[in-house]
Amino acid sequence: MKDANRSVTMPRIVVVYCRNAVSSAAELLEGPYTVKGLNAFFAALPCSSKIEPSYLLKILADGADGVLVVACPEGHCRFMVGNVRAEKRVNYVRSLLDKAKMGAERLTLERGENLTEKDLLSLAQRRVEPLKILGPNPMKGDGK
Amino acid sequence: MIIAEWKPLPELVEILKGHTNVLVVGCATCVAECAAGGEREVETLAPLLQMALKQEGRTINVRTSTLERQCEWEFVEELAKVAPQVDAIVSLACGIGIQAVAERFPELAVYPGVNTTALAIRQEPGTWLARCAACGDCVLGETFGFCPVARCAKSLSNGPCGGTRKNGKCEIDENIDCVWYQIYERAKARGKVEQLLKVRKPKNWSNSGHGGPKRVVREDLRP
Repeated sequence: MKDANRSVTMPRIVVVYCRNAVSSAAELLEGPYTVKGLNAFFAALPCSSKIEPSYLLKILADGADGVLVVACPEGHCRFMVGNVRAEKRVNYVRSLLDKAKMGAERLTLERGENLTEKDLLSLAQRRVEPLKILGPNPMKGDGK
Repeated sequence: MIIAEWKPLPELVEILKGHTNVLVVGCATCVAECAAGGEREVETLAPLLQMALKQEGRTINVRTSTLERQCEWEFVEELAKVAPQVDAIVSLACGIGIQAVAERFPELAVYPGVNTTALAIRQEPGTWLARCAACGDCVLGETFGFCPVARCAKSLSNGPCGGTRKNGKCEIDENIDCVWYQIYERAKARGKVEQLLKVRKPKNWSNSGHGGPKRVVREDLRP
């Protein structure tokens, strides 16, 4: 939930992305990536449908300020409907986050193909300001 | 299978007031099949509860476990090691499993994490439909394999009410088939519509819940 009294200088963003959405010429981003204005952790998946609601919620329960799922465009999934399933799961988890008063905006889905490292970083970068407005994840206080 | 649905999150947050170490227990059988209380749902609810409680300024430790079956004592016993380390259990099993856990660990607060709703079948992924009411007096042999007790909104025994829609749907829900329409269609396909003219007498409801708590004893199986 938005809390004006809190300040976030650098939201921690976890980016889980379909490796098939990334250009074959691009290098897969893996692990932490901290540069000026961005504190992100990247994890490549064989398909965006590999995300499970429990994984997304655990990432947030562990203190990440936001999660970004990057999937292939609709109709371009190598496994037919994996990216459609991913979107349904993201929407389901967003509804759960609202019920928990955490704010659905902490979880978003973007689509893309032939993405480069720069594109992935840019997608993550675009989440920084919205997450700053949202405020820090309250779960951070538990030594996370 | 027995189907269930998560209780509303605010209700779970409320019942966990005063608890700091909670065990969320799932069941890998029916409630896993209906995506309400299997391992996936346990691992989903646990972090969700932590976050919802944190929003109210409450921090709890949540452990998780999923038993093969919560309605079998041998499997419930697996919780004996972790039970002394928690002050409450939230069970995502059906009402049978919840009661088994509560009976095995009477010293602990055991809460239902789900509402058990029906005996149902998965019609397609994500859709479950009631099929049996455990009425204790099965008539499926007379109704061409369709249960009018569970599948008719009024549990009518001798044909449809006047509310069947023209497309064969139930008047109370356009997504639900009128079971008596289905019974008639199947009887017609088998050339046995005349069998439906037989008037069925009132059912013997005493063989299920109406006769008091059900107890079945098989002497040949007892110790």
